[in-house]
Amino acid sequence: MVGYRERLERDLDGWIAARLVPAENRAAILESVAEPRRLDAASALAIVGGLLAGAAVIAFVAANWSEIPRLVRFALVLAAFLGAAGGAAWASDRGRPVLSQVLLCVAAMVFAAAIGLTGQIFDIAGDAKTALRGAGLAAALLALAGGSPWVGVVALVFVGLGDFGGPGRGGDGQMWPGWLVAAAPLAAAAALATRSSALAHAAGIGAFVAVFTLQGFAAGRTEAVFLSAAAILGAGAAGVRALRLRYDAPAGVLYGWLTWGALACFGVAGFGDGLQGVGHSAAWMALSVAVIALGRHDRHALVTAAGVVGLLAAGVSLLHNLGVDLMLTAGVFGLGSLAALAVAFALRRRRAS
Amino acid sequence: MRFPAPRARILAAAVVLTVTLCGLVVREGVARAGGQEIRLAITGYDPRSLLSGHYVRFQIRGDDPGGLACPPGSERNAGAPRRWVALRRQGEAHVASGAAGTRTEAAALGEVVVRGSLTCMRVMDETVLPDGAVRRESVSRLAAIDLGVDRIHLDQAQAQTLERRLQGREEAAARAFAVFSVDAGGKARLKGLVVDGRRYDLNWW
Repeated sequence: MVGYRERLERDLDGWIAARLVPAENRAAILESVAEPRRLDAASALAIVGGLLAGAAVIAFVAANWSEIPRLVRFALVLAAFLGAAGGAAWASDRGRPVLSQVLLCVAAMVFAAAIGLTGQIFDIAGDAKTALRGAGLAAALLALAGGSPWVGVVALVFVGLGDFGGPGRGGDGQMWPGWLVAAAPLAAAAALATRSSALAHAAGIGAFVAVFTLQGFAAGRTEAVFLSAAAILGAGAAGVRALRLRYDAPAGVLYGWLTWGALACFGVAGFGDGLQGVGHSAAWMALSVAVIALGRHDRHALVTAAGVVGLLAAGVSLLHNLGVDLMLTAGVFGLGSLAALAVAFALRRRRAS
Repeated sequence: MRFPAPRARILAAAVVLTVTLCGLVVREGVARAGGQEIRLAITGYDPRSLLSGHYVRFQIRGDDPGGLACPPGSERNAGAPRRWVALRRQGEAHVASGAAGTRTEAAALGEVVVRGSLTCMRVMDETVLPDGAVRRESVSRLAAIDLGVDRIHLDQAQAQTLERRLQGREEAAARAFAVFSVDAGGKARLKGLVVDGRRYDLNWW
């Protein structure tokens, strides 16, 4: 595969031949492009050796797990966690942020495993929901401590798994909204603050998933829950759209996912008995078309894709509500295509003039 | 105010989490040692064998050879989440004597109250009448007691020993008990198993 520097060398030769760039600038331009770090064979073998040694240790411990005294097993689990966290602290101190974040992610996941293994080692019974949420809180603490958005993603994933794992009801028998309802907006704010696209992806998806944790809490009010969620997510999308210039990539990512969520929630609201019908499907289609136009205007692929998928889903919903009749289907799609062609033609005429 | 460097913050968070986990283990150990001890008859968890891997999975017996009817409160309690179960002593073990929505109500039904639930199921009871006719009626029978604990982790040697003792012996299964410690808050913690009169306790090693 040709790298950027090789492509640049080739292009530069072409530009010099075409007298677009002075030949004496060639060396200076190429020097300004740093050579990507290449892994030499010795380093690659050292990494492979380290990984194999790690796998050997894990396999050895696993093979002798039940023969190892409980307290020693517990100490091994804690040592693995402290080793990863200590490595992250060392890497942070040495100015290696990527390695620090990766090791903190490993530490967060080892701690989640440690919760389960501690329960197994000492026969401590507990439900999966509490364990997963505990792992999420621990990861959030590590994310805050290390200023690491990647660990924030891990925290959000564990909190989300906790919302859907274990019994749906709390200890008092009540259904409560999932923790994602609060965690996703917090993660979105953290994504903007740290300029992290990874955390923005997780927060945007989490905000949509959070809506489904409200179903049990507001049973029998599907339309109200999903329409409210669509409005809130839509308002959120509008808000981060306005912040795109200031926060750049993470705001753009959030804008895309919140638009997806808003449109999907509007569609799901149609499954409620009170909203079923042609009117909802038509409104869904109109909203989808508006989202496509917005996505094209903002040159935002994720938003455009949300509109396209929404339009297809709304079309299917409309046909379902009308009753599946092939002639009617042909008529609806024919009218839709005529309308789209007419708008496209008008736009092209206006641009040409 | 200056925040500490990331290295210090990460190490502090790691220490806090480690101490939390250690504290949980110590707290559970203290609560397990200090609670009131009860024994409940157990059986293998069908369709699996009683033993799988290095842990014993069990179900607290709700069925009774004599056909124990559902104790008070258990029918409306079936399938509900955590409630209160009342237990009374019967011979060398405890049996369920009722279930209730509150601890106070449950305390009136038995000697020991513990967080959990009773599950009942409806079965057809057949009675042969003097004239030879068979009368069928639907009755509720206690099926299971759930205290939130369904397994005990043992080392391989202990697990295999238990398997040999229990495999294919119905009478041995009837003589298996789970030993619980019930704390002041009504939470049951597993302490060990008693199989064929021999006790297997959880310990730190």
